[in-house]
Amino acid sequence: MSVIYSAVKWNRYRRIYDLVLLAGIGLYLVLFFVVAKVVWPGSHAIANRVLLIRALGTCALLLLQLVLCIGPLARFDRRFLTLLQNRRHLGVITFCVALAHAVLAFGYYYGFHLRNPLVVLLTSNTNYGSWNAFPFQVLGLGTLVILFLLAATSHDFWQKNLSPSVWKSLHMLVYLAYGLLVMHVALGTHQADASLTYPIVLGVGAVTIISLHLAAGLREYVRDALGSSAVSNITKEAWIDVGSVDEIPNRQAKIVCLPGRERIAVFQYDRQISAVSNVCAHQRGPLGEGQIIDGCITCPWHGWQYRPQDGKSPPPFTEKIATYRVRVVNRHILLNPEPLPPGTAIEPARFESETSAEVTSNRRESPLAARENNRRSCSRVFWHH
Amino acid sequence: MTRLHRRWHLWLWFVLGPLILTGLILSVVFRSEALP
Repeated sequence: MSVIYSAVKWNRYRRIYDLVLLAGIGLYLVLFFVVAKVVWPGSHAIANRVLLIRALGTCALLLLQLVLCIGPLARFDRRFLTLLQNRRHLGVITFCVALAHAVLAFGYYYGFHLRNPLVVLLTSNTNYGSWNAFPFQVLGLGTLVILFLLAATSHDFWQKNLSPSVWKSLHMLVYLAYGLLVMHVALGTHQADASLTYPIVLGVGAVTIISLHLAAGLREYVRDALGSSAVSNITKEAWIDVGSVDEIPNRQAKIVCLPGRERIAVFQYDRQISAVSNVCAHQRGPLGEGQIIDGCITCPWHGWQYRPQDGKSPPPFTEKIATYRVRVVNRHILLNPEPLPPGTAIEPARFESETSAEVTSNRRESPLAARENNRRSCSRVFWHH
Repeated sequence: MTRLHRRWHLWLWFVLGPLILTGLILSVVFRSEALP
């Protein structure tokens, strides 16, 4: 988090990340050239400029595939959260590589026309009904426009001013960009290259990405459905038993799913219980999968923080999330499911330390394992009269 | 993500996934006709 907007929030880790990424791209381009020179020697050799166009294009495709895999992978394994936290950098670099590919291709294939090259690109081939002569360049242009839109708004200034919801919806256009890019490459190589290398690479990538997204989406759907099946007809005055205080490791949370409502993160910290919305105000990250650091709930995605007592970010930040009323009876957490206005202060429910110490000594589960368990199963909740 | 985004995301991939795969398969099927 930052109180001012800056183009890139640099730190040592991000510099290393970007350097490794740029080195990886450079290495890929060199390898592409070396392999191409070996595979097509002598009279079959392809011009260096065409090779560079292809190398940059395939590099952008691979980078976009990587970008699309990170989200669902982070849902399955927390180790990928590191990549998720830097996904914006990867996205912007992907756009830059795609732009380099487009500029070179544009100049090479359309640069010598008397008319505006862009007009030539859009009007010279109108065989939209033909597989064999489809103007695949238009699909590439569409991809580039979307990637530009996403790269240009990959910034907290835009996110704040567009609202997280609009921003998130806008950035889901990346899936459309991917679809356009796949068809751009499939139809482009279809017209120029007899080998099946490109279709195989595209197919493996597409199946991987589609499977990962569907698996992650279905998993979340099941979690919602399981939580919803446990209770029904929730009223404003209901108090729901969401489990024992002993289930939640210190400074961590249990995520509660209720029918037709947003998920709720119930945190236990130093023998106190507070409940807040599970949805981070920044990019809708799952707060309940984070932990309390320096007294603040810390989002696992980008580190935005909120005080558990009132759902407010510590000064000078101004973000707020909804809080919920909780109480502890016989070491069971009772939750009122009605969200309070974001930033409403609620006194944490306290419980005795005696069993807490016992729990600490009895539970052999590591904090990481506990978080994983939390992610795997949405809590079953029960009515409390 | 919010509940709405989770559902929207899932349905999007149910639609987009088969579309992409169909496009890929068709491009391979018609490949032999396009090449010289």
